[in-house]
Parts: sequence; C-alpha cells; structure tokens
Amino acid sequence: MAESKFGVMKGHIGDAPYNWTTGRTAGRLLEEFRDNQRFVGFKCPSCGKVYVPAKDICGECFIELSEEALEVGPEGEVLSYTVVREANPESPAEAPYALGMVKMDGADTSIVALLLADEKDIAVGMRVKPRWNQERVGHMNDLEGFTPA
Amino acid sequence: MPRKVAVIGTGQTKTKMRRTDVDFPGLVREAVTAALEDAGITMKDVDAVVFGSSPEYFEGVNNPEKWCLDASGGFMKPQFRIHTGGTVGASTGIGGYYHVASGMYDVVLAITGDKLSEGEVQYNLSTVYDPIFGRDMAAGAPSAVAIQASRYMHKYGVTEEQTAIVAVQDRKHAQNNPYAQLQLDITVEDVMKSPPLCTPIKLLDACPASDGAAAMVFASEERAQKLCPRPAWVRAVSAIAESANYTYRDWAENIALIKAAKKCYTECGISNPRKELDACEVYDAFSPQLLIWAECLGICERGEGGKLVESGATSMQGDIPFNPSGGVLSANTIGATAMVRQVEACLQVMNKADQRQVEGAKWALAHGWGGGIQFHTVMVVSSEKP
Repeated sequence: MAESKFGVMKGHIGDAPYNWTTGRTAGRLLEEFRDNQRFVGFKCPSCGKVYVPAKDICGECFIELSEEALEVGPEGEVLSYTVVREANPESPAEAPYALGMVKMDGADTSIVALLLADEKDIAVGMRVKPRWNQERVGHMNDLEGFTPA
Repeated sequence: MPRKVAVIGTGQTKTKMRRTDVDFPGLVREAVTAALEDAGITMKDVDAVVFGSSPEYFEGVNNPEKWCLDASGGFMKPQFRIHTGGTVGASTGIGGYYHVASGMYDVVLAITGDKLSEGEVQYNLSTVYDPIFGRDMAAGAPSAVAIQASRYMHKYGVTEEQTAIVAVQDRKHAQNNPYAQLQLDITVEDVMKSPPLCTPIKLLDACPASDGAAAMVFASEERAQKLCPRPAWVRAVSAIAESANYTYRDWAENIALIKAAKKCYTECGISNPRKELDACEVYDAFSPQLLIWAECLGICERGEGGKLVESGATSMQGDIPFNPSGGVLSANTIGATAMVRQVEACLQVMNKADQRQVEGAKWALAHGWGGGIQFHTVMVVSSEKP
C-alpha cells in the first residue's frame, strides 16, 4: 500500500482548564493530607470494606460509605510495583522512577503512588510509610510518595 | 427471547503505524467497503449503522460518528454511537448484535476504528484516569498494566521468560495475517534483551500503536441464510464492568472477565472451554495479559498461564490456538482492536481465515479489554446454528 503524501495539518486542542469536584470522602482525605499528614478511610456499612482512597460509595454494595472517617496507616504494604524506565510528558517524575500499589494498614483497597526507594530494595510485601511535601494544598501530590518503613 | 443473529461479512484495513494516504473517515470507508463486499451486499441493504471509536482525544475530533457519518454509510439511516474505551470495538459488535437480536433491524453494519498516529496516545490515555487520585501517577497504559503483571507474576511465580513466549508466538502468528502490523521473527531471548519500558514489561512485550478500522455485518436468521452459505452464528455475548477505581481490585485476576466468560459458556452449553473451543482471540496489549485472560476464560487453572503457553497449547499447532491473527501485540488501533478479535473469531468459524485458519474450527471466542483493566467483553461464535 503506497503512501501518497497528502497534506498533514498541524493543530492542537488548547490548554482548557478544568475544575474537578472531589466529592465528600476524597475531599476529606485530601484535607487530612494537607492538615494532618495522615490517611483516613471510609467504611462500607454493608460489607465492612474500608476504602482508601474512598470515592463516596461502595460500588459492590451500591451504598454510601460511612460518615465517619477512620484513621488508617501510618504504614502500609506494597502489593505490586513497576519501575518506569520510559516516561511520557505526563509522567509524575523523570525516568527511571518506581510506582507502587500500596495498601495502608487497616484499609482494604490500595493507592498508586511513587515509591521513593532504591530500586534494589523494592519488593512486593515491602513495608512503607508516606513522605509528605513541605507545601501542602489538599492535593494528591501533597503525598510525595512512600519510603521504606 | 433474542432472535438468532449471524455475522455474514467482515472487513478490515491493513494496520499500519501511520497512514497518510487517507484521513480517519477514509479508513472507516475502506473497512465498510470491504465488509459490504464480503457480505455480498450494498449500503441499500443495510438498515442501521452502529459506530464506535475510543476517546475522542485520540483523533482530537469530538463526535467522530458525525465526522465519519458519510464514510460509514450512515446517510439518512438510523445511527447509534458506542464508546467504552478499549472494549469499544467489541461493544460496537455487541451493539450490532443487539440491534438485530432485538428484532428492530434485519441487517446492521457495525464499524470501528482509530487513527492513533494523529495524536499523542499515551498522553491521551492518561486522561482516562480518575482526576483526583489517578491522573498524577498515570503514565499511559504501560505503567498500569505493569503493576497488573507484576502482581500476577508475583502471586503465581510466573516468569518473564514465560510471558515472553506470548510476545514471540503472537508475532509468529502475525506472519500469516496480511492485516497485521508487526510480523516479527523473534526469540524469547530477543524479548528478554529488548529495552525495559515499565518492569516487567519490555519493548517487545508491548503492542504497537496503529491506524486502522474494522467492520462487521450482522443479519437476522432469515437474511443470513439467504445471503451467506456459512455465516458465523453469534452464540453468546457478554459485557461486564468492574469498579471504576482500578486500585480497588486484585489485579492477578479479573472477576469481570470470569463472569463474562461463565455467562457465555452457560448460554452455549460449554462445560470444558479448552476442549470445546477451537480458537481464542484475546485482547493482549502486553504479553503477560494473555496468561491472565486465559486463566479467567477457564482455559487453564489459575496461576497455570505460564505453563499453558510453555506447553505450546496456544500456538497454531496446539490444542487451543490463541490469537491466530497475531493478536493485539501485532496491531493495536484501540478503537477497532476488540472488534478485530470478533472479526477474526468469525473468520475462523466461517473457514475464511486463509493462512491463519485453524483447521476445522467450528467454535471461537473473542475477548475485549478496556478502561483501566476493568471492562471485559466476550463473544462466542460458531458455524453451528443455534
């Protein structure tokens, strides 16, 4: 199939800004990141699962999560990880960097964040603790990542 | 009760890294024309059109069903647009099936595609993640699948050498498929030595990004029997979604796929899929995924995927060939990818798969995967009328 060279028009979709509402439980977790440097979870009143990070409802039970925030952590466990060697423009760090799926103690779900550790030390089952940014604004990136506990 | 439905024609474009000889609607038209020709009909015979493509961000044009309307043959016809991310190709095929099974229409054209060369694929895939907790850690699809693969391989002790067999096998199968993009002659050692992208995934474990389109013609029992001597009867379909939040699951297995497969097997009366299916086409964008999907489809026990591919069972000479087309590792347009699985499954049971034909194939399964690991589709087709 020969490629006839028609014109190619360059274009872009502008830097359109968005304002995403966090929802109740995610908003509370981000507040805790900012003000108290800790993780909280929310419990499903039906199945008892503790969601961290929580997104307001338990999809399995289709029910609103608890009003009350439960403190979880401060440590957690690496369930899985990857060392990213080829980054793209949206990557959270310069390659190589490690991403870990971390389950906080007392939680039933996990969060993906940077693993700030020597690559040779990273393993499934590794115990980790959060490292917080000095400047916190109530954003996922208030959590710099997890370091070995 | 749904009506009996068969696929009477299919069309695919050759997948390439970049097609500059046509625009996206042009690609769509190629696939539509091929499918109509294969079915031996014209647009006049088509009652309705179902159109699917991936996130609009890929081509940068919203409402692609409008952009491609003329090219898809939808002028002055009922038109329905479907979008479910990576599974969209399969969902669009299932949508075509629903249109006919419902009794609403007799002949329906389902069409999907994407022209990934026109945008920034991994950048755009990152916009699929949750904006609050996912996106800042997103790096396109490979990092998420790497975490899935790492969890799976750790849980069951599956090795990188075992997953590399998939990378070799798919590219070998692709050599028999004129529509495939990567027809590579490679070894396990080549895969192991290829540059790492996201551990444990290396360059040769990963799919390419492609330009391409596919189309299928679905027909009612009466029309199918009149128009096609050996149609592919759609025996069961299923589309199941897990939680939106990808960190809520055990990534070593996919309950949505297990459920989708079980539903289809029950409807078809399949009790031993490995024995009763003749070929499987699965959505393996990265080589470890074929192992996980095979397990969830009940082809082998949980954790035995590595041994399954090692035994040669999934090769063209094996008892349950996987991806005779070369699979997603050999071509990935995203938009058409899951439909190509259905098209290839149909070609097998229609005995039209040419060099990649599994001899005597009567029952074939097509799988689709999308979202952030959580959407799964299954379609089972057969040369045997229900």
